[in-house]
Amino acid sequence: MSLFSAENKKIFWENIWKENPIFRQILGICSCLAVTNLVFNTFIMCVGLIVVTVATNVFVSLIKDYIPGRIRMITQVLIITVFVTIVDLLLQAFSYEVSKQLGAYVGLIATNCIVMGRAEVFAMKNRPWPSFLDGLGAGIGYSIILLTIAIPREILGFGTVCHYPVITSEGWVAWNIMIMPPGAFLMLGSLIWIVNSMGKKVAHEEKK
Amino acid sequence: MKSYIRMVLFLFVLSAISAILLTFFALETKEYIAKNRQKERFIHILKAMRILPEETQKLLAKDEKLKSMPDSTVQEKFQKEAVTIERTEYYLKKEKTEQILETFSSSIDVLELTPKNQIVLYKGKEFAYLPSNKVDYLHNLYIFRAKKEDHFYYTFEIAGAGFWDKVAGYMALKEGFKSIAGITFYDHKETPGLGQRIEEGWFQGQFTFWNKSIFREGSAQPELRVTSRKGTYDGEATQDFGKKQNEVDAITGASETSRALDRFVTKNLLHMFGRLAKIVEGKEGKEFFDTTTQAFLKNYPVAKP
Repeated sequence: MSLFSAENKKIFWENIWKENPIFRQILGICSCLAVTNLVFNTFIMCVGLIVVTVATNVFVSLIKDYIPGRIRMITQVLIITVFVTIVDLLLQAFSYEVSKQLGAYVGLIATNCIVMGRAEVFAMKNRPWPSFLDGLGAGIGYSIILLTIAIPREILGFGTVCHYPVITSEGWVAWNIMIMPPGAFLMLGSLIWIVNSMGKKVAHEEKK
Repeated sequence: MKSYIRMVLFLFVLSAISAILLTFFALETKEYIAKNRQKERFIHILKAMRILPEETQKLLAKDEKLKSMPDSTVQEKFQKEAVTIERTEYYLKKEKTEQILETFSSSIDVLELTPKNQIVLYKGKEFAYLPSNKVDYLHNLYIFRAKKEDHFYYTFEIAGAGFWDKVAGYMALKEGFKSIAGITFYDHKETPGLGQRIEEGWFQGQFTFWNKSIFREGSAQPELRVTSRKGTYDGEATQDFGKKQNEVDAITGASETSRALDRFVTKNLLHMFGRLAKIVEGKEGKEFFDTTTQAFLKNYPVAKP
């Protein structure tokens, strides 16, 4: 099978939309609510999650034949934790301010169900390259939703995008709720509602 | 039996690989992380004493927001002070590490006091370039001294349990320790939008703008109160609301963070003064502290445990 065969492409694209971890599987909600009040922080968090998901998937896939069935979950957690710690160390070394702002949430990537979910469901049964694509797709799918939530939250909450002022009007009053977790609930709920309505409409038209 | 041995062996090998990987990354990033943390501390020490690199001073002078702010009424002056504090931190963080080290080296001297009361005095340059394993912020007490316009300023760390986690910062006192020259927080995990407001200019500005003191009137023991009693500054201050000289305003909606500050800042001050009173008459104490501060420490009534 070629690297970019139709089946491999499907693995990648399904995680981005059809099986998107956030609005289809409702996974990774904790970090989605916590870190999406600033676009730049969200972006760094997304890069961290993509790296961890891809690395875990590939590593698990490489050693899957040697993992004893009874301790496969412990093995996956250990691998995830190692990669999360590496990402955390790199952030503290090369992006200290962002690392401080993300605080505990980088460490909490270890408990993100998306990483564990992809390792258990996909990487344990597939070869490294499809596992790489699966991890990449799931990570990008997660990132798209997080950034979609982060952009309006930062604009409404701070009047900026990536710290660059976009609302400079004197009379503008920042929506404080948008920088707090309830703002993320509102945004995420609205997004899931829109996406589900679109899905129903498509399904209805297909039925016709 | 064979499967158990395989499981143990597998976990042993995997743990060994994990340990090697993590050790490699920890060692490779150790120096960078130490430098980042040191830079962060130095930024806040400089900010507390308002000793700023030239570039930061220029940026502050050119800052459009500050330039456009009127300062004729007390309220306007206070708001300008609050924004100045925030912009100072913002510009200091933009400075290159070398610039921060340079400013620290040329303006600050350091007194290190170990738990066994051993004293080491450092010139700023010596301290700024000490290897990270020679500085022990956890066990030693560090006092940072600077001279500005013929007056001495002393800065020390304030730290304690906040609402969620440790809150740490620096407080600068003017010579004689009577009044506060600045306060800043470099580490905390308080609630965003509530306790997090200890970072804001209006909260930190009230300590200096209203010439707050760490002493209750007529008392020689430090007692800094963070209180909701009488009025709130909260960026809208038009007067001092009759608060006492040792009282600053609590943060609305963040009672626990305010109570934590109320508790641990005074505790830190009591601890520090108690220790400094014991060493002030020694050679290093006399060399480090100016005469007014020496007189205060000599007469400081060390609290009985």
